Amino acid sequence: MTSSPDVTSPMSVRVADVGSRAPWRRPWVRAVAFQTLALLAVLAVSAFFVSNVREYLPRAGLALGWDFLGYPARFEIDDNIIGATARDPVWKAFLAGTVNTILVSVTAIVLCTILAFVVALCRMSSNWLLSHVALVWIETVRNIPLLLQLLFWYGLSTLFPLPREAWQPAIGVFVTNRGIFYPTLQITAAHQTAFVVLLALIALLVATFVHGRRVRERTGQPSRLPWVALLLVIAAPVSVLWLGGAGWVFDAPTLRGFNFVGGSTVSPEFTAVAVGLAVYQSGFTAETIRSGILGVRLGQIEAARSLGLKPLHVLWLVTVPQALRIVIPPMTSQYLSLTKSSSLGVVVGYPELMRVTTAVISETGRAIECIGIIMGIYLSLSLLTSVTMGWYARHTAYVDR
Amino acid sequence: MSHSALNRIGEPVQPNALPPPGHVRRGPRAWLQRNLFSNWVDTLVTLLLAALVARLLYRWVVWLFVSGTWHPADIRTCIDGGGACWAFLQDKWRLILFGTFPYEQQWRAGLALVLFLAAVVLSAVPATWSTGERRRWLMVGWLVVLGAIGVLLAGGFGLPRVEARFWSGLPLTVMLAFVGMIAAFGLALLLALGRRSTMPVIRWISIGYIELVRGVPLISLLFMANIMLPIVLPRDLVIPNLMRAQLAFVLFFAAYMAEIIRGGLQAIPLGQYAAAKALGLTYWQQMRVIILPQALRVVIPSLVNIFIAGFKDTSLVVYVGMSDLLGTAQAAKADPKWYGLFMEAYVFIAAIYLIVCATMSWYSRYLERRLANPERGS
Repeated sequence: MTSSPDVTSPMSVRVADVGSRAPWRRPWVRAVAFQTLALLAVLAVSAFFVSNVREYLPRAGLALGWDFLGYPARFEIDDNIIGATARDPVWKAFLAGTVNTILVSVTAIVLCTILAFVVALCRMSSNWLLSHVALVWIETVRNIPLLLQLLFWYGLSTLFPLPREAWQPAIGVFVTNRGIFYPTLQITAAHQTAFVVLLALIALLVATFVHGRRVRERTGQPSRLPWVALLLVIAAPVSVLWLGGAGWVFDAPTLRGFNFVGGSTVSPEFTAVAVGLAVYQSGFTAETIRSGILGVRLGQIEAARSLGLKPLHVLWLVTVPQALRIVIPPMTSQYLSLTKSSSLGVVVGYPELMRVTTAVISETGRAIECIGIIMGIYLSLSLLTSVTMGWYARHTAYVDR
Repeated sequence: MSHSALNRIGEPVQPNALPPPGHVRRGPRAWLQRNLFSNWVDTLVTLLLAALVARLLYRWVVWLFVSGTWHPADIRTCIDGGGACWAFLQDKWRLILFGTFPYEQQWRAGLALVLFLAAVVLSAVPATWSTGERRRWLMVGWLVVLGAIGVLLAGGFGLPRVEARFWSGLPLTVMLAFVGMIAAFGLALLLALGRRSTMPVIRWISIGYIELVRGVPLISLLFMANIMLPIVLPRDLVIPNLMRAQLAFVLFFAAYMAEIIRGGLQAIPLGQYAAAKALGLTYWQQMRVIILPQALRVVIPSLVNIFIAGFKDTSLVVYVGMSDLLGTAQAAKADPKWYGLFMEAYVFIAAIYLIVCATMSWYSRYLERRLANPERGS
């Protein structure tokens, strides 16, 4: 028990050390003793746990090790894009779970951002009705537990029509209680080449934008390079497709028996989790966006207005970029919490990381290693996000001129 | 349409929205014109939205009351009737609220809830904690109430015993949230002080714990408490299901609360620390008398928000096989007699969660306003 934090003025330290106190009353003696005790306590608890685990393992006929990652998984993952099957090793099941977690989270984040932006704008409208409808939305979605909302959306998806009476919102797209079926393009080599070319050109486009901005900042003249690059981005892949003789053959879902075959499916579980997460989080994110927009000084808007910008331009060129700087850090942590909340998908049966882990544990009994793996994956996702956020905060810090 | 001024989202501010002093137009007509029909876009939005809201409300009212079935001739007509099946709730409301608590004893769980609610409402009034003496009485009152609730739930004093594994429904939800938050608060205080400590070992232990817990989802902690605790504890030490879930809650929310309290500690001017030290107070005296009262006052609204999050997140115990309010609703809809119904049970418990959480968040805003004007507070 030493001095309080942050106020170790040189004066007080000298008085404390020089005084004719007994040794056990000196702050540094106490600090060393206290910290040693704390360290010993942590070590003792860990040792206690380890010794119990040592006793448990032979009793349960288990040993610690990572060998089980190579054994066949022996369970199917209904909904995975990397094609992991029951015969594939356990590590591939974990990979499929991680991919699903990321997939559903990213989908929900995109949906949530759009929804929250619209809700925030409505909430700030001077129209009383519009702003209060937005208020009711915000208060409702964020005061009902996420798990209940997920179960609700999942329950709703069971009310969709049977495959035989499928609802068809667009040609080839079928909405049923077994999921949403949609046609997919049959991929040929030309498509793949075009895709690679497209990726490379998008990188080029980004580079020209960065370059163009530098040019504009230096000379005040807009660079025409991005437009040329944009033209290339459209023209080159199209010509690759044309020259490569790529066909436009679609694999369309067709009704066979009681269900559709062919095409691709979005499962009801995925839809429920993605929509539920997005709706729940939109209440929080809308309030964050609103506070960010309110944080932009009115003088900025008046200045933009007096330059003759139109209302939409004021919003897009002046308000949004400044609000973003305020909004990005809290929004990142909200999205991180959304990603962690996607683990609730386990309750409606979406095969994300948590569900795969429980399946692996019930197959192999390797609880300790499996919990270590998911904790590790979630922790590294968190760490990655906070590092990126720190970089962004430093990058966009406000420079007073 | 005037273009003279814009608000932050680019909407034109109407000249009559900011009337010159002395020209304030009052009355419902002026209000309507200002807030709903200030220009033609506004009018269009208002009309479209009013139509939409009216349609939704109409559908709800029809679902709830018009085609809702109160006294079904048989159950299938109630389920397939197209409206709310109130007979289901009539049949199941006690199961949803009290779960597996013995049926004849459920008045006890109900009374415990009412007692708890009364105590909470009473403590929410600032006048009950405005002076030291009142605070002491409040503490005594709480101890009495908690003791009474304990007796009501567990039995004793002539009431038959009810084992903890039969506690479910709303009482379980409230208990998990309340006990969890109180215990988490104690741990969070230590963690927050530890993270701001000058002693590196203490600081690193606190940082490690807080970041580790905040990096993983709550459901994985619940899962871990459920399967790891029996492994890392001695064989003969069996911790009941309820305690394990409670422990996971405490450990999880303590990390989040610690970060909030740390925010409060950082908001205290350094001069306060120096002055407390200059008075010759020990570290714990400085914290108890000078620093924490100020720091906690700043973060009360955020703490209430964590309370709300905790109340909602108790629903996750469904995953480890306990039946809180959400669990009992799931059990109610799983009854084959009522197969196919889920909306009624979900809407019922959603309404409970919504009312509790919205009240808490309203109270948090009220406190925030009150704390912002200290001359009116205690």
